[in-house]
Amino acid sequence: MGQFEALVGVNFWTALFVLLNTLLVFFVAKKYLTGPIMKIIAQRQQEIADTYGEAEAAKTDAEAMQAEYRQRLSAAKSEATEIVKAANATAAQQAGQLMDEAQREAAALKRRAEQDIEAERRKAAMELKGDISELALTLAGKVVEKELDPSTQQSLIDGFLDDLGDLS
Amino acid sequence: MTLNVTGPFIYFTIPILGGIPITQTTVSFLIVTVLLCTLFVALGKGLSTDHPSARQTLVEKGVMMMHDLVVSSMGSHNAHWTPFMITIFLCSICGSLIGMTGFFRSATADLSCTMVWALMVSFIIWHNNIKNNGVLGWFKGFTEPVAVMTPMNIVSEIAQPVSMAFRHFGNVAGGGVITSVLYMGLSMASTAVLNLISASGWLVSAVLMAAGAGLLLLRRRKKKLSLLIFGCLSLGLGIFGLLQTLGVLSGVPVLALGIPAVLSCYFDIFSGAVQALVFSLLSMVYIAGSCPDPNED
Repeated sequence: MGQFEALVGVNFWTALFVLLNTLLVFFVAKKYLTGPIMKIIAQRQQEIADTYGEAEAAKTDAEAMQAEYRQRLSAAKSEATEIVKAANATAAQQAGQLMDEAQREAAALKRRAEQDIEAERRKAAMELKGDISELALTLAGKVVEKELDPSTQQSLIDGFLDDLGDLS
Repeated sequence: MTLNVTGPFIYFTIPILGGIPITQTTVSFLIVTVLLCTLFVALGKGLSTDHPSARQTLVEKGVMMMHDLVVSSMGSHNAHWTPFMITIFLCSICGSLIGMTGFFRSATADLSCTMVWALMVSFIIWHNNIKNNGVLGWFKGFTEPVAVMTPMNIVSEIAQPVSMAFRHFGNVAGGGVITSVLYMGLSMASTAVLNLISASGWLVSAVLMAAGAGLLLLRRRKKKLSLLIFGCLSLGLGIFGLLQTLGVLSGVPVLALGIPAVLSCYFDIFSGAVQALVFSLLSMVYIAGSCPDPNED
């Protein structure tokens, strides 16, 4: 049977040995495990941050481009509306002009027709008046059996016929 | 039957400098050291930022867990203490669990081991205090808040490493003692039971074997753990009782089979892990107390 240490007690050599071993484990852990791992994680975080930055820049670009396109689109749309409106206005104006012209022409046509009719009627009335006065003169000559001097009696008969009533 | 509770066995003594004893603690901690160093070097190889292997992912997870623990309890300005805490934690848990191999004694069941770690923490704290406040400032710190408190402060400064060391050592060594006591008690109990069975004649053994076999057969219908346990126990008692009656074997510690495993789960695995965690958490808290955030002043 060999020797045993006391259950509760500190042996200097064991303690020194444990201390050296613990320090060895510590330095190995720091140099070979946690150091490289932390470096790798930091690198990866840097890469992730870079990627996020790039993505953010791309997103900003895209948003700017989208805003520009939207603006252009709305400008084009309003321009189109403007053009359509102007065309409508022109068309309406032209239609109004045409209508006015037509109405004017129609009115002129009507007026001329009316004048023609009036002239015709006057002419007819004058002819009729001449015929009637001649007839009356003949009739009165026959009645008084006396040749009336048409040149002296004509104004008398015209006055009589005018008194008889306006034939127009 | 007596149980000798002793410290670690001294394998041999190197006859220089007044004799350097090579104890069980020395050997088991050397194995832990070699194991951990090999593990660290192997795990720290072939790391890559963009295509981490499964092994690297796990290692990163483990390191980051300790890193986060350190940051949450010590603050981000103390994150450089992570390797030290990993060392303390892994040395402690491996030093405790190596006792479960059966060939080696738990290194942490030796006060020499835990006292060294506790004193390392204390020396770090004292070093930080002297660095931050100067030697005079450190001594002056003992007289705060009032000069009367000086003896108390000195005692608490000494009590801190002592309590840390004894807590860890006591839990692991105590667990080992309890396990030994349990093994001894169970082997005594099984000797007594087997003596009783063999003295009663072979018929009792036969009945026990039949009952055990019956219980095990019944378990094929109903899956119940109790049936398995009692079946095995009864069958084992019957077989070894019969063997002792026939004079083939005697004093087989039947009861010590399986039962101590349940308690060993608590006293060796759970206690070892918890003490490692407690030790490293206390180290973090104490060291953080001596490393104030430089940005807060």
